[in-house]
Amino acid sequence: MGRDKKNATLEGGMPVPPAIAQAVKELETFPDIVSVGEPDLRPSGWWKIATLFRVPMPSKAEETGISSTGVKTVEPVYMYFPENFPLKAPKFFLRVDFPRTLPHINPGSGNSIVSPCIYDGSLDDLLHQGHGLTTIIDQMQDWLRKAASDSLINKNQGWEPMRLDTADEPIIYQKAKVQGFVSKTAGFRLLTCDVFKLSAGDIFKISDYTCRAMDAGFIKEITQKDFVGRKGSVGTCPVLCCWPNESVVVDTYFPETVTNLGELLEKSKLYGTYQSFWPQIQLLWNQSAKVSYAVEVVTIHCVRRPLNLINQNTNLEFLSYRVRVQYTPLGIPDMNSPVGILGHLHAVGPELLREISGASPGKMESIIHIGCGSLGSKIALHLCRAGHGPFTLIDHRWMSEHNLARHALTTAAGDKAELLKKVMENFSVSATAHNKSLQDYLAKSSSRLFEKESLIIDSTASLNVRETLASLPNATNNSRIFQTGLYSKARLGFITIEGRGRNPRVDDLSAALFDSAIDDKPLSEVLAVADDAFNRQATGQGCGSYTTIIPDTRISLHAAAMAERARQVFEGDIPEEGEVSLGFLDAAGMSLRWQTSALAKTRRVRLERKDWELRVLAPAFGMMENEVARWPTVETGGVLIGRLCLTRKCAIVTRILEAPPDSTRSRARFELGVEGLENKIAEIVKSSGLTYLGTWHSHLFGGTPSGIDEATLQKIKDLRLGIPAFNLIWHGGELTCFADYGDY
Amino acid sequence: MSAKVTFFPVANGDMTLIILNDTNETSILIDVNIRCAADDPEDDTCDVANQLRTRLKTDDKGRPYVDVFVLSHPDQDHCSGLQKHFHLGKLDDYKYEPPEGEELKIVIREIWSSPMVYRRASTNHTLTDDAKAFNTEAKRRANLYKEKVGVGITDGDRILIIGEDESPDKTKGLEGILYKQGDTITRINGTYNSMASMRVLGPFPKDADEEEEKSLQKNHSSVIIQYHIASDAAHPDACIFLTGGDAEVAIWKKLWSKYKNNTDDLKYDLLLAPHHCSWHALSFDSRSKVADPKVDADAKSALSQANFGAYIMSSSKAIKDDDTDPPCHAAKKEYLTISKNFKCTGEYPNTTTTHEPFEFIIAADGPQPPGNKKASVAAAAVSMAREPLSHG
Repeated sequence: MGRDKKNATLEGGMPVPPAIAQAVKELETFPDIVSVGEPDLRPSGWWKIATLFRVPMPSKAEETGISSTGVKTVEPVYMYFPENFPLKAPKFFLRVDFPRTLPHINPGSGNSIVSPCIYDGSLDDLLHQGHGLTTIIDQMQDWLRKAASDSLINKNQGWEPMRLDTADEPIIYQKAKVQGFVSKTAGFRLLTCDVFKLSAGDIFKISDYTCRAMDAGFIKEITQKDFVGRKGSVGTCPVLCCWPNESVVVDTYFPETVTNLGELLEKSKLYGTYQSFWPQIQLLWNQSAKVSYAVEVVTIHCVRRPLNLINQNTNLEFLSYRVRVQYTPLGIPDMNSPVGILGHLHAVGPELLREISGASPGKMESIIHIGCGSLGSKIALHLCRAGHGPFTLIDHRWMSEHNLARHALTTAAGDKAELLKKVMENFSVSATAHNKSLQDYLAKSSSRLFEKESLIIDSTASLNVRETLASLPNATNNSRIFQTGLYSKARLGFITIEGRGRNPRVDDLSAALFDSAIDDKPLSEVLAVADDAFNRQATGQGCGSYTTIIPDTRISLHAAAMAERARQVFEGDIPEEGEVSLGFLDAAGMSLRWQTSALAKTRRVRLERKDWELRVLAPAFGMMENEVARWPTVETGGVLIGRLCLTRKCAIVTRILEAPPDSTRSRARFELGVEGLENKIAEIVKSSGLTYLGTWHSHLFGGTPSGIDEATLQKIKDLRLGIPAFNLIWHGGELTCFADYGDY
Repeated sequence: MSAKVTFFPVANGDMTLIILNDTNETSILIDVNIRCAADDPEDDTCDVANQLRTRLKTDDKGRPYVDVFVLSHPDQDHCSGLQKHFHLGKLDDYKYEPPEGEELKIVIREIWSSPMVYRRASTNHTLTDDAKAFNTEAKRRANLYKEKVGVGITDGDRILIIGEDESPDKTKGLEGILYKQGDTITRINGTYNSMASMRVLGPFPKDADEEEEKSLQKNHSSVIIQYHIASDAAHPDACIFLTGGDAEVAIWKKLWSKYKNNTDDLKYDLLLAPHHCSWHALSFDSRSKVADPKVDADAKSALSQANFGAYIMSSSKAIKDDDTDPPCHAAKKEYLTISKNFKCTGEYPNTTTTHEPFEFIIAADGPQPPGNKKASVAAAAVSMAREPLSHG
């Protein structure tokens, strides 16, 4: 194998590129490469180097020099180096008669040199990992060794689907749909597919999975000429799907090599589909022959494997063929009629999307998406891409030109909901669009959102929508309202998820979010600039034509995280309690830091006035409980802090303030002091937007207001200037309220 | 995954892992020799503990485990590192959070232990702490079996007794898990496994003749098992692996006299050369004391029942042509007359770089060795860094 430099130039030929000459030297250092030939420039422009590899044999195969799988002790390996090696990796080929029954062989026809698939990835990339050519040669050696011991397939990974060596025409369909036809006993289904003519060949696509009968209408449809069908198809072709009895399992591996009808019939006997296939296809030919000419038939055969296919959750493999029947002079189908192998391409649909996303099937029935703006459209499409749905899209707005800056949609003009629905149709994910406001959508029925068990996502950033959602009746199923939004140029994103039975409710969670700003200065700062008009950009002339300035990238950062949580919930990780998550953008603007907290059930306090609602969040209740425990022998109390919604007549207590130091406590009386209280309240209003709602105090005996309580209420009335105030009495863990509803 | 037999490079010592081709990828570990040097990242001795762990599965609680651990005999070079790397004692006491710098211990679901071998070894020399710990654990399991009368024994408490003890009362109550010389084991960790069966060839039971018994003691009485390993359901005898710890010449001679009319029981496709390719597995003569030491024909016959193409493996340091024993160069020459396929763990992938586990794939037509490796760039970098290089 000795070679010196001058040999690196072929006589009268092209000089061997230095990198390839170097590769030859490297090959010679491998102990198991027993011969390395001269580089030979092929007409293709690739340099061929013929080598011989010594393959370690299983012990008993040494005598014959050939393994039971047909691999020899010394195997020729032809390496084809591209001229730009090492930018690109060489290709490897084995002798023409290398056993093709082995797995991990690249597609190729029966009379060409065999191309082993030595690496589960790009060899070009592998060349630049590890130790260059050595790593690739190691792979080749390892492949041959495994081929000799029949250990190329790791059966624990699953069954390798059949190689379609000669398939260059595809059939596109949703495997899950066809798989759905297969039953325990052998059978068949008749469908149609669209045919598209391309310069490279034909493409078949099944769009309609409705089972057809072989009636006159069907025959007419498949025999009409000069047909122009949906989306530019040029014809409709019958599809005959056949499957075997449950007992028929094909556990041998072989490449697909069918070229004619006779071979296909033999294969169908092996698959266990012959009994369904052969009578049906003959019937189809006969029926159609009466109308016009013998039609071409696409046939899909289901093969049962002993194991699940690699990376698939089924042991059913589907093999597709196109059959063009010809007749012998005697008028019977010619066994030499050409049959083409069709490679399967997955048609997009929820199952494929879920499979590719690694998503689990949804545990809820639907997704209702309120708000198809920049944030909402991104969240909705993330969920759609994970194969989830069906969607109900609610948005009354138009897609304007300026929306393109940040929207998941890429065309303007049209209703946002409608446009988003059309995009989802491209994914075969079903969606209905309601180009109206939530209020108009609910005009039909206020419980419409809860008809099915749904994930109801609100990404409108609209207080109006939030309050509408809060006012809806309780869900009788396990639907959840999932609210999202962004604050302060997307420096903060939030997710709130309602608890079971809508408790805590969307407005409780929102109040809790603002409450956390009281003790969290950075959060308070972010919330404080939320409504800063300087962050808005005019998008047209006229009042109201403005939008917030945020780059699309930041919205996407948040949308991805929010969609991820929504996906988890939809797939069954549904929290029992409420959940508030805050996502802070870091200083570099490249990542989010999420904090999640749970919120237990809210207590509703009975009021005299039924049009009013007083809600006490679990943390506020807990604070009262602790305070009472601290003062078991005297009355105690403090100030109620929370949100007051005058339009909806709802007060939500988020926390209590400890009684000021000048307060007095005795067995029959609690007097709330004032020291420092005003400043404290002012701070709270500033940091969180929450406010003073009233007072609370404990009674040692009985929960009804005392004379003193009545007098205090009168005092508060005067101070509150017509704004309602609530006064809670705690007695033995029960709350009663005497309230002044002011002007409301 | 294919069935595999892996010999770890542990110098003169044994550590062999069998993985079966069943869906559980059942694992049988025969002996361990994890020396301190192998655990030291600064030392270039192959980190066999890590190499072992990467081949093991973890259970549903995240604990690495072997289905079976077989101790051929309690010498240091066959049980070193047992306490450090394996959980001994009740599984309830398993530590899920190991101390800083330590790894989760490996659970042994079933132990195959020979009290007879242990008894013989302890009469001859002082045993190490690892050996004693093994014995304590085996006793714990045997007692539990007796206590529960074999009912409700689960992973981590199972045990099989290999070979009869010196008297039947010693194994009273253990009859259900006792496998005597000539018996075949078909249950692994409590369940029937079609991917392997094990013929017990040793230890010999206690010999009534005192001299004979002494000879068995001196000759490193060991558990000797002929493993029949399937490549797949259709090839249950794809690889017959014969392994017998450090058993020496007298034992092999005795085995020949017992099995010479039934040589199938001594057949193999893969043999672990006894006692790290020691001369004393083949000859009664000392090479330093006898001028022309002779190979014992019977012992050699016992070790010569190789199927065509069989591999003989020496689990030892590299074999040099000098007076070292074990491994002994003259013994290697004898084995080469049995099969040309002789391999040594201390010479793979070569004698200079850090050694790597020698892994056979079990194919339908026998055990398949790894190919010859080119020294890797990483190994070259390490060996270059091994000594100072002067520059002028």
